[in-house]
Amino acid sequence: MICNEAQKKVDELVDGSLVGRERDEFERHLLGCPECRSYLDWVRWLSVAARALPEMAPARDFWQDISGELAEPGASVVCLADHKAIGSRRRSPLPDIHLYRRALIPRLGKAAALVCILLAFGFALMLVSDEPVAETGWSVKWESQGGAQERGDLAAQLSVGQMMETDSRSTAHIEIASIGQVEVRPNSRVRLVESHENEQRMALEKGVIRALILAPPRLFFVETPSALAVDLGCAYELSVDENGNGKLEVTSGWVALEYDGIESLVPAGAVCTSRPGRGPGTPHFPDAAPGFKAALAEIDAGSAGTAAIEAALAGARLRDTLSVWHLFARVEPRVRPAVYDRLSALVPAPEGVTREGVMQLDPTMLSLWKGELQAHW
Amino acid sequence: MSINPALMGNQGASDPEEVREWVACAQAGDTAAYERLYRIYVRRIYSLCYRMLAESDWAEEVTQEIFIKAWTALRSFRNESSFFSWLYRLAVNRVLGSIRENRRRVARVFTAEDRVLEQHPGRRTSTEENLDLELAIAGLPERARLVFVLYEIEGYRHDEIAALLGVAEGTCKAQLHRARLLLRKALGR
Repeated sequence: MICNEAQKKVDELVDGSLVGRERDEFERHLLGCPECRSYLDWVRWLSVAARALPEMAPARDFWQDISGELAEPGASVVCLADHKAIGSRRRSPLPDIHLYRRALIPRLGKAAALVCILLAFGFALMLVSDEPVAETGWSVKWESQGGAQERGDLAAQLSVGQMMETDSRSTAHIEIASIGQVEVRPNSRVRLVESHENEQRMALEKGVIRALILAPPRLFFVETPSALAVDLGCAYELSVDENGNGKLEVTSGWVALEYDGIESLVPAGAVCTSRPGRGPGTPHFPDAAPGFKAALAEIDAGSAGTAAIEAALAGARLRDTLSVWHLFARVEPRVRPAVYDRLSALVPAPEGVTREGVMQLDPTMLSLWKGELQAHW
Repeated sequence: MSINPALMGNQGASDPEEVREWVACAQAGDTAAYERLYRIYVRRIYSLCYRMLAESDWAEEVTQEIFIKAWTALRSFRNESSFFSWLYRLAVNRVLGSIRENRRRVARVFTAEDRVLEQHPGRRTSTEENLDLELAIAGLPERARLVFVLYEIEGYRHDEIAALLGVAEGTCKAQLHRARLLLRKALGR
């Protein structure tokens, strides 16, 4: 794919109009093209920055000029005995974000309307919650195989507490408030957990989602049975199988996978699996040596002996410092010196990082070293 | 279109019930109630005008026109949408009308395209970054700027922008791409 053309695809990806095979092909291109990834990062930054621009005030108050033009019979009428102070009450979260979309929902209730609309069109949507419909929600567009694309303008609303499921032929495109999009792939089940200005949170119970988030870090969260995916400004695919095992593949930016005090930081191009009860595994790049990946799998399963850890360390390339750095918090304290030695052989510890500090998992030192390593990831 | 919540300003802090009361009173001719509405929305409307027109005097002039026009048209407001949505739509149409009526001024503004080619290297504070971004947006060519402002800041969709500007949706997308490239160059990213 030529990059000039590919960069237009970035626009389509960000706008949510790039779907299906074309999107797959483009995401593969992104993984191997730093120029396009850089452009994607720029577009994401620009979108966030533009939306965060503050209001501007005119240089002067021109109400007097305006009021002089308002004269008409009855203009001196005062019909409110008590004009209340402006802004005296707390604003509701995400006020009127979906003004037009809301107008489409009949008054019989959003949940019921959603069911009626989708049944009428034969789409596979199931709402399985009886919880009251919340004030805020996400808008959903549906795409189905077999000629239903013409109905792609069918809009619906997913409210807090509601769950929806795609069948083998349908895909849902969710607009996450004003911060990004999530594509819910076929045979997937998701639930909207929270939607307010400081947090957008969904649960992926099974299936696959693709997220593209244009927001400051830690605003968008996806709960899975095995880990919590925390957006750090990114595009990624997250899947959950029938047993609750998860797999994260990051296309752009960073995602954190968290569970019970364990955290994996996954950059663009890397993958990370997770298991119920164990949380996220060690992130790694797919092009790592098979022996290295097999050793990591043993470590993540908790069944690794010294031989497996030695194999992982011996097989690590410069790029695999991503995984090696994560091993500090995953291996027993007695093994940490070996991890330290291997990592410092690949990329020396920067100033301010000591062996003793790393042995104690000093977060500042680990962060400093990670900063040095990132150039190779 | 989804209204950008970051730009709701005082509008977001006002009570919808109170706004409805003031609107009803203003519809009955109460200028004091209309002043309340003006004070809630003037910054929001001025921001829209400035970013679309890229000239402060012109933006102030059009902002005044919008509030005068909204007063005269107020009786046609039926509460089918929020007052802000109605005012906002009226404002966008008035700005675009003003651009059509003022081709000479527009031409003068667009000679400022060179500004977008200025480089702003180095690390900036967020306030400086905002200022740089505002300047760079103001320096964009007309079409690219209008599409960028309506899409990225105001939350319009491409099909809505295409209808407003009377162009094809593909043209909107191309202009947005152009704006992003020009802004990247201008901001040295």
